[in-house]
Amino acid sequence: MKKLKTHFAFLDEGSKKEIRRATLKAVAIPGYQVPFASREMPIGRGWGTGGLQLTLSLVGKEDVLKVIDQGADESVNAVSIKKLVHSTTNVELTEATEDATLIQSRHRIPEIPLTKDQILVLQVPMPEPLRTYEKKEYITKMLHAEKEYSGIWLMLFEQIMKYGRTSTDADHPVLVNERYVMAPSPIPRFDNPKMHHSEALILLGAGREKKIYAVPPYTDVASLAFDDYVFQKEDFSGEACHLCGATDVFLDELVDDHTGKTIYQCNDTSYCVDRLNKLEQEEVSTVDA
Amino acid sequence: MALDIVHDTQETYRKVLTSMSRPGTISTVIGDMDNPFPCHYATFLTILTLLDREVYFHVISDGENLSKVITDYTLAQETSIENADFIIVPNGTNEEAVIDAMQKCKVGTLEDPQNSSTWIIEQNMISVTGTITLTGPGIKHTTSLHLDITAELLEMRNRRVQEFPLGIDLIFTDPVSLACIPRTTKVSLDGGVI
Repeated sequence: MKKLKTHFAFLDEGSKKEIRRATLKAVAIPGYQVPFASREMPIGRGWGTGGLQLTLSLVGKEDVLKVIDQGADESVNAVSIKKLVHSTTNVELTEATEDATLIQSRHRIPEIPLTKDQILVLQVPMPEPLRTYEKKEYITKMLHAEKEYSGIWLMLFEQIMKYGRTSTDADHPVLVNERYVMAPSPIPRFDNPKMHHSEALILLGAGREKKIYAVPPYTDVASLAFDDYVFQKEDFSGEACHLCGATDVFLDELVDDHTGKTIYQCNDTSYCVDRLNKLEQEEVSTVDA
Repeated sequence: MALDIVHDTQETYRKVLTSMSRPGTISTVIGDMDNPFPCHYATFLTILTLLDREVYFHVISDGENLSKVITDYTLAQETSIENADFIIVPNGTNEEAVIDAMQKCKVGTLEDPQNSSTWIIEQNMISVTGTITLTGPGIKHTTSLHLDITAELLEMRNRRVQEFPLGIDLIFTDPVSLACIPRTTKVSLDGGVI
């Protein structure tokens, strides 16, 4: 039997158009979750289908794609998404952040600052920042319509009362363009400031929840915080990556199996490898000299 | 050359997306395909990229029978100004008619601000050295743009986007390029705010 060729970028043109129209509205209304008819994808909903559909609606023959899963280029989610996009489009793949024109990411914004020629697509499991205290979609829609955000402030306030600080780890809510409270996807608090006046366009897609939203470049993104309990990033002071020695990056805390000691390592694998390669080159060149 | 519906619309979409996320940025559209539409080439590409049978459109003072070709090619249905998802303004349309339509078009609701109209407005020529100054999301400091529209039209636009998130998003096209002014953009003329 003859194997049928898949359509370019997997999705049919009608689906792409619908996603594209939703994306343009999302860009025009920063932080607002635009509903869209999320398609059935060959990966499970909740595994990056929103981001994948955005990527497929964007990708063209000339694009260079990078896919990251929690900072890593080579974990299962990243590899399978890369394979799917590549097998249906034949676009070039890369691990180097600076070479990519399209970056699809799960739970991280790369360490290397993005440029205006790049688009960052973030996979979102829970797009609704108000969902933790309000279960009904209809109600949260009304709350956004009325800019009624006292609930989320109260949630942060209660965390401070209980724990002495806000206990959001990842996905710390942000206020976009002084209008919409938005879930920045489960990026660590460390990455929240990278969204503020980003050079690159940031698109967020939630496949299971059928929402697309966006942060255009040079847009105000403020992490919610109180005057006396200011927003704080994860603190890695005094720690460095045990492989490349980086200090001003997001670090993973690992336990060394042999010694039982806690060690730290760059979460952004391509950044770490790049630094290691450069260090090695420097060592080689000093030996040569 | 005939249009490649997959790749040419993809490229056009990226141009529109760039211009929409960076208001005032002029994107030059691709190639020189056959244009069977009685409108600018850039308008033709934008229409083919965004319209299909799921949306409704309206052409203001349609002398050249543009609506029929649009329906023939995209299967989008023509409708009244009040219901249109896309409102198309051919080059040379009487500005009074445009202002009147802008007053009637849909701007979305507070619950569903995306149910608003997107405008495709034809121009003789769009250029960067202009009298219109833009600020807002997507713009680092300010951008300037030259458009052939009057202060009255801009005033109507500003009135319709006053109550953000309600509003309209504008795509301006000239023969070979396009530029966008989404609802978040603050527009002023000759340095003074309208």
